Amino acid sequence: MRSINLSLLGITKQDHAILSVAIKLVDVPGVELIILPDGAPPTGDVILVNADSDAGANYLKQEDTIQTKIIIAENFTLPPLGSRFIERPVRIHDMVNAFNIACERFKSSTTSNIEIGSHSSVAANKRTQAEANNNTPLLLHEFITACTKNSLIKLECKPYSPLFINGISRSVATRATLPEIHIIAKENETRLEMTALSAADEYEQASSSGVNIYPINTVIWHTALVGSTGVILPEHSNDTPVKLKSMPRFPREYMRKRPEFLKMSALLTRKSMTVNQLQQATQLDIKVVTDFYNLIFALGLSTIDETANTAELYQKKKSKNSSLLSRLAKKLSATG
Amino acid sequence: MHIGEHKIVFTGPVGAGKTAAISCLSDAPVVGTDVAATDETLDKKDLTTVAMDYGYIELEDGEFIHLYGTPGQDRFNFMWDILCQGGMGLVLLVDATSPDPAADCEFYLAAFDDFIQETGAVIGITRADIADNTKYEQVQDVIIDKGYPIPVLEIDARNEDDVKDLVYALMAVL
Amino acid sequence: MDVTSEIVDKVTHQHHGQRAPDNILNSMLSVLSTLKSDSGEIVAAIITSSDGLPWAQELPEDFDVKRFSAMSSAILALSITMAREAGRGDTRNLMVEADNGNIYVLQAGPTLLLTVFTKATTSLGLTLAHTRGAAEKIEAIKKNYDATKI
Repeated sequence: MRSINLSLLGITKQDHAILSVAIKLVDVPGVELIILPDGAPPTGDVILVNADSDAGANYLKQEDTIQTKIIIAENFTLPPLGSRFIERPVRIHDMVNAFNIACERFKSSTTSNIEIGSHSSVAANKRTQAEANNNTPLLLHEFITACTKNSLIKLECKPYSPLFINGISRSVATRATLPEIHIIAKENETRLEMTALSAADEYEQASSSGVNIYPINTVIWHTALVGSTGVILPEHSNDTPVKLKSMPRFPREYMRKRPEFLKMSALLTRKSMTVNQLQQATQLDIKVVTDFYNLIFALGLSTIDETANTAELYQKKKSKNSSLLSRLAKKLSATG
Repeated sequence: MHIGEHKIVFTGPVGAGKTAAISCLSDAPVVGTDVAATDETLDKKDLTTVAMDYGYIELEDGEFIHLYGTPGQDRFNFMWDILCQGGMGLVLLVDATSPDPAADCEFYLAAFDDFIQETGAVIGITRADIADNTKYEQVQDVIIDKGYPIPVLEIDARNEDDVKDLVYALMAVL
Repeated sequence: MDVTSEIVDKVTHQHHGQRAPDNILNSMLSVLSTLKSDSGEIVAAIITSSDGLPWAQELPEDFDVKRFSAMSSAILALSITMAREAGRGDTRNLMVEADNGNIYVLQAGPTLLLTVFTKATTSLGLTLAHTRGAAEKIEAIKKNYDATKI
């Protein structure tokens, strides 16, 4: 039996009550979730953090530690890579899901110090539905297809509300909220069903009451930022070279939490690169590079460059500044 | 202290917010050279920078990042060359409420082209909340396909977090 | 070219609705002409607004009046700031000594500057005295003009 320690940080009495029920419903064979005492230092493999508490907020401000975080907060915010988010009011179902997924990851990993979403690396090839670790690349692929083919699609991911994608108007109509779409993207066992829609059907759905209409780019941002767990878009490979026409319009909080995406954008604006080349140039985790690649392609910002030399090694311009820049970054984040 | 490496230059048309932005970041009060305006600057404000604004950020180890703001008017373009010497990057601020911020971008990017190619640049669009939102796309059109990255952000030049984000974006392209 | 158009040529048109009337500019121009003839060492002179726009000039052909006007305002503004911050008080004038001559930049009232370019000079004090005198006259002209505008 594999034990996973769960630390609690700043969680409320009500959270505790839900926790005590949720923990009994966690059902991952061979894995046991053990709650560390309240007030103990946050050293567990998994940390349940209340972002609205002082203790929780302070903890989250620190540089990303290797622990898996499950973050509870009033308002949806972008969680750091590898962590999960639960928006208040907390439902038992949300907490159980988060724990199940955290436990699944630990079960399939060979060491305990591994972040959610990682697995022993496999050379990325054309994806099949069985191989996908979460729905993100699938969703992105459908969004891209709808837009390029000007088609209307219904995506169903039970038990969540379906998404009605209009590739012509570049919008998504759904009763699901953005946090729920985030969750849909994270789900890994959910089967995604796609159905073509007629214009009349789509119109009817989009104009029903209680339905949210999102610009497709907004949904793409939310989906892509979940991360694709290293799975590249269908029909792409780690050797597909792409180039950026200009820097993406990153939402502000995104820039702060994923500065590496800015860095990669800068590189791809100068030169066409494949995922492999980008990984070699940045020395970032290949999953992070893949996430980035999927995002910019889904947003329509990158184009495939057939003429690029995909075997070329990136020659990093000698930068005298890198330590200076990291010290500047530290100073800016420290003040105010 | 090596002055050469540690300097960020702020430029852009008059009234875009260069002085305000430097004030946000500077550890010490900003040294300015503002005088009464007598030209079209008066449409926007009473004072104008004629030589430069100067501030600095002090890092942990006693090193400094100097912040220099150039005057905006073209007649002071000799100051642009002087202030850029040894700089590590450029922050270009344009005002969304002016008639053609995209044209302003084009002008300044051309004027500072050598410097930008050697180092890097970021564009901050100020007062975007007051103006028509499509200025972002117009500015992007100017820089698309340039072949080197220039992040574009909408900011409030008086807001410290916004200005910091601009600097983060600049650091990503250096 | 006749005298009038010569004078008009020497008076610039850069202002955005702030241009002083011709008679004012002409008075200022004659101060510059007198200065140049009184002091044998001054080869060029310009009157500039504090924000670097030219008002009147006595310059040779190859001097770019716009550029030097802007430079005068920049250099003086920086000098004023520096002197004040260094506890030296208000700046009386800025002097640049160079191989082929000197440059003096003085304030001519709160909103105008006078910049003169000299040959390599031996009579520093005298040249400066003439220049100061000219600055005072320019300040007076401007003051009178401002009074009429109220």
